[in-house]
Amino acid sequence: MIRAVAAVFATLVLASATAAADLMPDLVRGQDAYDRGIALKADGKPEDARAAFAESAALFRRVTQEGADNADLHFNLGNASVQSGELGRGIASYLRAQRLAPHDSALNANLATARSDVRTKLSGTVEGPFGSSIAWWRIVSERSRAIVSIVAWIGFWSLVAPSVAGRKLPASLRMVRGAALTVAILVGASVAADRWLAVARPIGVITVDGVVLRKGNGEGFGPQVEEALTNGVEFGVLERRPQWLRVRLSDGTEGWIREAQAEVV
Amino acid sequence: MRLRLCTVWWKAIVALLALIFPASVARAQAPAVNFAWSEREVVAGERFTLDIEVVNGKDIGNPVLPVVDGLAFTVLPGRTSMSETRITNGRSEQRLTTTVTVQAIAKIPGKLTVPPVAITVDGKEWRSEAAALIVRDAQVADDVAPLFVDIVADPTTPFVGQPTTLTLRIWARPYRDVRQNVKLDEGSMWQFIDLEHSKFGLFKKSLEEMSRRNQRPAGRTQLKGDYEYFVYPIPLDYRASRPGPPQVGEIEIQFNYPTGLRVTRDVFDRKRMQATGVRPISVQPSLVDAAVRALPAEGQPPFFNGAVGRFVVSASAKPTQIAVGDPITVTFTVSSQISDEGASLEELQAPAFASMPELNKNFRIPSDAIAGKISDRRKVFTQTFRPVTDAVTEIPAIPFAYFDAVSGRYEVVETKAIPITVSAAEQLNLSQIVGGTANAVERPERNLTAVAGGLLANAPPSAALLANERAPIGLTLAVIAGAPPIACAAIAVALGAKRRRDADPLRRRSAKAGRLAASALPAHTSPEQVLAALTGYVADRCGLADGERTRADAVGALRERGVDDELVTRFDRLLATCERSRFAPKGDDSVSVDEARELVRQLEREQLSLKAGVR
Repeated sequence: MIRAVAAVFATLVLASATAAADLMPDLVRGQDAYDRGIALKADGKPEDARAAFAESAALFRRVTQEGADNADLHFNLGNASVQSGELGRGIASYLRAQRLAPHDSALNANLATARSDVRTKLSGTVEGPFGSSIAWWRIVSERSRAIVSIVAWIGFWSLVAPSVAGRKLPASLRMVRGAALTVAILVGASVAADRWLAVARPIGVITVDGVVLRKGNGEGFGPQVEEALTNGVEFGVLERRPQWLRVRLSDGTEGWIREAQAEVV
Repeated sequence: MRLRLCTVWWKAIVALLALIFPASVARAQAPAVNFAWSEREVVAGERFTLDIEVVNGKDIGNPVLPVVDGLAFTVLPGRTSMSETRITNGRSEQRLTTTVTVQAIAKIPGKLTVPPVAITVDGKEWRSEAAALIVRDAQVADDVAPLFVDIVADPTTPFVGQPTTLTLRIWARPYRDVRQNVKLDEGSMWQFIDLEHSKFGLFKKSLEEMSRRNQRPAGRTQLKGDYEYFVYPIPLDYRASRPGPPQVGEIEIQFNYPTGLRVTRDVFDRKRMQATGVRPISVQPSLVDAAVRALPAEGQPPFFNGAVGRFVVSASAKPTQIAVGDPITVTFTVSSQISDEGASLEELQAPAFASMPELNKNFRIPSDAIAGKISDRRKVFTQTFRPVTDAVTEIPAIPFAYFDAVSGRYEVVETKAIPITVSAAEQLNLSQIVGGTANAVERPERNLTAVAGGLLANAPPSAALLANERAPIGLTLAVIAGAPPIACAAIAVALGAKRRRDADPLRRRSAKAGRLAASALPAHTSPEQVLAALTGYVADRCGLADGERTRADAVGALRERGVDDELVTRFDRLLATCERSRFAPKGDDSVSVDEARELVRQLEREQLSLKAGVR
């Protein structure tokens, strides 16, 4: 059984390594474009810089679409998006990164900077009671936690098998068995909690300017508020219908927006 | 002569004792008179009273009662007196209260105005105020609102930040049971307020404070229109932070208004009243008689920081002889000139020293907000000033602006300028550096100022940026997680079956029957051995006794276990052949060992039971 588990993990690692080798050129070109954008910005060529940042964002996004999913990559994508003027998409990328690494100070600083550029200022926060600030377990990545949980789980059952076969384990091994079960359940529960939060409490960001928050899921419905929402406004998703999202803004206002006008994290 | 000396001596002793023991000298207060009507809304034909309380009166005359149509007065005989002595801080005060009771009966329903009632006490005449009375017909039903709530403010239009007393007033109509001629007093009516389910908003704090002191709002009788109510005031010290109506939270009073009374008597023969039914009433404030005004923009000094009240300011500095860059601790004190102003000091902010041109021209001052300390009616702020040049000779007068809510104007007060002596900063000369003996000059600490905003740099490209930090949750993970418990369960089942089999000899024999038969049937086996192997197999498999190993026993056992007839017939035929061959001439062995093995294999598949009749 241990050999089988090892084979499965080896397959996963090998597959990741293969993907990494294929995507590394895109990653490097994305960073090169970003550096070029910084240089153009310093030279006083904002339009050229913006185009370079957009190219960088497209390359980083391609890497994420190919399966890479980590806080640093989303952070870089957020930077490139914000620099290219895609404020809402940049904030969405920062939020994705924050789910994986909520205690990253650089990430939180850049997210705060991006949020300060949002023209529609609303009170409150869209983050729920189980938001990133108290999800202490996220100091370890989800993948690592899943592996720890599985290893502890297998260890627990490996120590259960002798008892099933009628052999009495020494007290020290029984303690190890109990600890293994505790670790497996707690760490596994943290992974499950993360997945549940992502599904049950999705959040999103408006990615264009002039979004009208409507009373219903159609252009025929009147506006819910007089002001149009601007790029970068965050919201919680309450309901999804074809092409439309029912959202709640940080100040508690609810309404409908087109799905194409936003990016759900 | 001797008598006179004794008298003088005695007076001196008394005077000395009076000085040493002032408490022994009781002092009486000046006379005072209070007039109190028992009711302002009365029922025609029923008695009510006017109590005239005379405090510390010695010579009390009879009350002079006015003549009013439809109202008859009678001074009740006998006066009640109560004496009370209080000792406070070594001083004793005596209080004698004498009550004269006047009984009245109104005869005709309507409104009455009773002119002042007069009474002479110690030669001085005291007069009550004219009183308005409502006289009701006992037969007419009372359809007025039994309860309402309002909020009043003093002053009614305060400015933002101005101390204001808000009063939540609960108006409860006294319940009167005409049949039993009973009217509930204010204490009894208060009991019908459902305090647990009522919402008092900010006034809850005041109620809780009263409750801590074992008090409750004291109800007083007051007319509202033509009707008498008990009014229970709940005061609240309030300071509005924004213009508009006061924000006092959700207020909803739940009241169980009685619908009937039952009069009982306790073991001491005292009258007790119990409600026989109640009508739940829920009311919210019908009137909020207050509007908070914004502070006027006109005349507002540029350095005004929101102070409302009346203040004076002072400042001190220490040390006053320093070098350039050295810190001076400046203590800035704001004192309230209004006696009841404690709350305003809590929200009072320090002046923005760093943004005052007269100060920041010559001093470096931190721009951080500073917290002050409140002591008595003063708030003390402490800030560090560092002179930037040795040309500075004083800390200039520091202005402080406040809004006087009474006059409705902004006022500016200033501290006095504080003279200081600033010398040039010390510098190390070459000899001191080489010799290394000089004490290091203590440079003022300097905090760097962070620049807000701006994006931080990207993470560099590496394999870590291509990783997937998400858990590979899916079928693979489910298989990995599910395999260990399933394997353990399989082991447990297999070991359990083995244990059960090992515990039963018949089962063990049955389980081994196939292997024994196979080993007993090698290629060259005599018919006799084949017969023994086959009958032995059936005996082991079916749990037959050792003596039951004949052909008939074996065939019978197979039939009892429902084995297919054709198979049994083949088995029987082979056994018959074996028996015949046992006695046949040598070389005439026609028994097929292969067939015997095949029969055993087929019977193994039949899963023969140890018990007859069971498959």
